[in-house]
Amino acid sequence: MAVGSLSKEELKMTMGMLLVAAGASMIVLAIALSVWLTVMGKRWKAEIDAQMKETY
Amino acid sequence: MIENGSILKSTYRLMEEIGSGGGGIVYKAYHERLKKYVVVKEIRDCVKGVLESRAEADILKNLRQTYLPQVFDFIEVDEKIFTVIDYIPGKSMDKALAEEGKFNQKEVLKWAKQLAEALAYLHSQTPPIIHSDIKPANIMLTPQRDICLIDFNVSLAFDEGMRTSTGVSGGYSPPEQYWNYAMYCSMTGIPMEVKHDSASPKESGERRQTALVGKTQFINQEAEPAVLESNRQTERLTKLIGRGVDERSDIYSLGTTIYHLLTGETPSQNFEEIVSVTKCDINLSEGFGLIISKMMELSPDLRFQNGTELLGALNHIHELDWRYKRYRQKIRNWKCLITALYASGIIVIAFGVVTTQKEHVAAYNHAVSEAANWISMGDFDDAETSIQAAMKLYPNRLEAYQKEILRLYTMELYEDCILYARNVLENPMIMPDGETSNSTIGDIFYIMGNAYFEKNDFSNACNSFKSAISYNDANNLYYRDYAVSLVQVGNAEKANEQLDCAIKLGLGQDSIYFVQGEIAFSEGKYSEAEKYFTTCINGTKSESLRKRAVLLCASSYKKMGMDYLDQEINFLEQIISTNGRQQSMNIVENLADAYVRKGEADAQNRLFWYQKAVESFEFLYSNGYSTRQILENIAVLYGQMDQLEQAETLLLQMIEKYPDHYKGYKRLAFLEADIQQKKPNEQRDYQRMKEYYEKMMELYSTQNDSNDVEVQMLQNLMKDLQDGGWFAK
Repeated sequence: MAVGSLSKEELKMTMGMLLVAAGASMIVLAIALSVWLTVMGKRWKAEIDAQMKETY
Repeated sequence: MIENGSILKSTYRLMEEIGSGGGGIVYKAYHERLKKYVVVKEIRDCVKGVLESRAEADILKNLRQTYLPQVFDFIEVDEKIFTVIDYIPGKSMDKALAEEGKFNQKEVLKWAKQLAEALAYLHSQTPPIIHSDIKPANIMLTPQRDICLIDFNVSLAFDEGMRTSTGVSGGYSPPEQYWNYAMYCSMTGIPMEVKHDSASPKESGERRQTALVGKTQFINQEAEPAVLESNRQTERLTKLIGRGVDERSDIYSLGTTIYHLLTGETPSQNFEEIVSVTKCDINLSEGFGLIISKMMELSPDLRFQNGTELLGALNHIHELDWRYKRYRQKIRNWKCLITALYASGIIVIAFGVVTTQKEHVAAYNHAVSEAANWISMGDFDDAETSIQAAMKLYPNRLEAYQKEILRLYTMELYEDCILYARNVLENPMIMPDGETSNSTIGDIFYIMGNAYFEKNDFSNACNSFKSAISYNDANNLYYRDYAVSLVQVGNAEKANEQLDCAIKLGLGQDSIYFVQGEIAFSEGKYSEAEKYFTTCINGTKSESLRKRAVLLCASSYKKMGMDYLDQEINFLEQIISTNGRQQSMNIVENLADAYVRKGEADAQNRLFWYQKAVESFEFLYSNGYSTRQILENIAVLYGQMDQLEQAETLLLQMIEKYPDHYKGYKRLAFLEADIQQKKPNEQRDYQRMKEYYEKMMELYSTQNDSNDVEVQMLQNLMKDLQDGGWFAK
């Protein structure tokens, strides 16, 4: 269906649903980044700990 | 002076002299009972008084710390007090420095932590023990390359309040450890001219003011900036000097000691000339540099406040490193980004949900109001579509169901309307609480009451209107129709009360006339009732009220007798011509009934009136009013007009459509009797009539209607035919 054929109410409803989808995507991305940061954080911590151990 | 080899207190055999200091000579000795080497050291005279109390001596003996030597005993020999402590193998740190020059950061950091642990332990005693003379010479380096802090100044353990030191180690002692500026100048060789009181803080037991009148006295406006800065520092020093030692003094001394260990150089005795450790040409990490700088702050307030604080900083030294800071910042940035993403996601979802919800509500309200419009216009299919759309959006909201009930009522499907309303009211899923719902529930009861009313079930109508009022007592129409129903059940008194309530709530004059007409009608005052209804019809703008008033007005004429039949027919024909037939189904039905009565009364024009009645009934039947009763009426009328074939065709249609109802067969049996009646005797055959009769009786026995007079008549007729031998043929 072409956007031009949507009524104002339908457009608003579609926009609302798109916003919900966008928000959900952002949360999914945030969850994915949290997992990634947990993994990478451990790796970075090990690296920095090794560097600190070497220095101090 | 005690000779080597002598035994003190029958326990300690002096082996050799291993050093001497301000306090006296230090001996290596052998503990005869414990069979181990110890150190016997003469302690300063000023401490003697303090240690005469055994309690204080016990405190020192009870000190246990890995990096502190243990104090075993205090002994008095020849009026001198000696302390007996652990013998620490190894060499002093100043000797190690002389041998190795300087040490790397990693090793110094390890010793710094060990020393900080020892200080933390001493400073945590009650009262805190201040070493006051930390320097490489007082640190032993064991063969395992651990350290041990020796020679702590016992006098400072018990001197409460502002403590005064017994001595100063140039380069290692903080400013506050110097007694006064003169002492500092004399030790550092700084030229000055001071005016101070003669007594030192130690001598007087209290802090003395020292006034600087040296070079700072000659500060003038033209002085060089460097000189001005120097003068400011000097002034600051004079304020710090002589303040007395505390835990922070040990921190300073340890800082300078670490400085020495790292750089291989003793820090300058002149505080103004100390080169910051971070500016020295050594391999030093940022964190360690910062800690040492803080330890060596001239102002005690800017240093670590005690050994515990210093130990904490050293244990977390890596946190001061730029690489660690960068790592922390990176983690923090990612966490901020993720948190922002979560927050944004939640906000966007919330915004989307609110937008969608708002539109859903708007669409729902639109569909409901559209349904109401369709209903008022009589377009029930479109109304149903709108109602279904609304229900799909919010299956639990009541308004759409209320419109469906209204639709069924307006379609005059009263039984369905009541059934549907009951289902809705009994369904907990579509009965949410709240003020708005109460009003809608009131409306549902009101419509249901009207449906009962239309079915002439006035008792239930009364109950429904009463329930409607219990949910919403502000709607005058509820009271009006309740009053009308009460009239129907013969309770005119209560009806008047309800009418009064309705009038108080602003009931319109048309409705008042209507109810008054109802009351008059119920009291048998039909002429009066007819007047009220006529006034109501002429004055009301409400179509439903008008319709009801018309029907009741027609009923009033009917009750007034045959003299008013023509008036009734004229009245109904006039109303139908004004409204249009399509909008007046009930009125058309009433008119058809009036035509039938007129036909029965006017024998001359019977066929004419019956024909008009048939037309009216057929119009109803072909316009959705296809009830069994209408079909039966038409068939009966055809029978009355001697159009027996048409009557039979209609009755056959009727039994086909309503095969389980006895009335179709009853009419067919009568019709068959009439048909045979018209034949000569020899041609009559009542077999079909008998079949219809038997079928009728079979169905009649299953139905509740057991008082049908026509059935009795038919039974009698069948008996006569039986007796007459018509079935024997």
